[in-house]
Amino acid sequence: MRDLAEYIDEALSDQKVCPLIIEDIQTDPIISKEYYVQKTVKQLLKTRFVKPCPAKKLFEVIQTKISNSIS
Amino acid sequence: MDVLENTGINNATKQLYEDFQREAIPHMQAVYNYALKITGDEDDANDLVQETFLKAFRFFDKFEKGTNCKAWLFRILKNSYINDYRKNVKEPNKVDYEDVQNFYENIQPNEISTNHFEQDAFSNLLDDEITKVMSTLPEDFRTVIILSDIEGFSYEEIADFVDIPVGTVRSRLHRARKMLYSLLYDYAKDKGYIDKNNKTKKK
Repeated sequence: MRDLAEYIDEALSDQKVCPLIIEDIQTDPIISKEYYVQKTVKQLLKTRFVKPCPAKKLFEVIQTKISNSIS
Repeated sequence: MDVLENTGINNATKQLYEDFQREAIPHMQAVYNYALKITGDEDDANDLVQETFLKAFRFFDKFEKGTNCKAWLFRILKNSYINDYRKNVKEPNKVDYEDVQNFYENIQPNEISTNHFEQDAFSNLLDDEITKVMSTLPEDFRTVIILSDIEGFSYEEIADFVDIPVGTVRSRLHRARKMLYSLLYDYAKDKGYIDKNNKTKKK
């Protein structure tokens, strides 16, 4: 399962194992379900949660406080 | 550096300020995003980010140049969250790893519905509902899933931020996704997004 996680996260250090993982996903029902679960959650979070807009006002406040702390 | 012109501040402090602007300030957005996810509240996130950066600046002379400043900032934020912010809100949410292990082990692959994603009940869930379910994950698991799947950090970066081995990041992330899937599935079923025959209902 270790390689499966790395495959999903595109973090495999050895790309040669890719075809073997794909084969496992296609032939082993347990690995296939694991792959589906992992991939579904990753995709869901990635597509649903757009990064918030920069909190410009907050950043200005912080910058001002830092400047004030040394002047 | 204009803000410090003609202020009589010594060169060492000016240099520290310049280094901080260059090293730490560019990570403000990433720190803010993470704060927002862990607190789930804009005001709390603002307070936490302010505290993090003011603390970081105060102790910036202790920061080892050449190391990962982003990871250093995340550690300050995490400690502030645990020590200060959360203490005032509620008692720390300690993770009982045995409970998590039991929960995880009890999820059998055949208990998980694996319809095609587009037809899956999760597509009926609102973002707020996903956030709500995600907030029920134990904090250590929630942290890695936010950093990986929402913020897009690598295993190595997460390991650095959270101060755990890369292998632990990998296994924790794997478990977190599986737990979240199961929780989302139960939630969707409770809400009636999935019928008794495990078929997705359209909203």
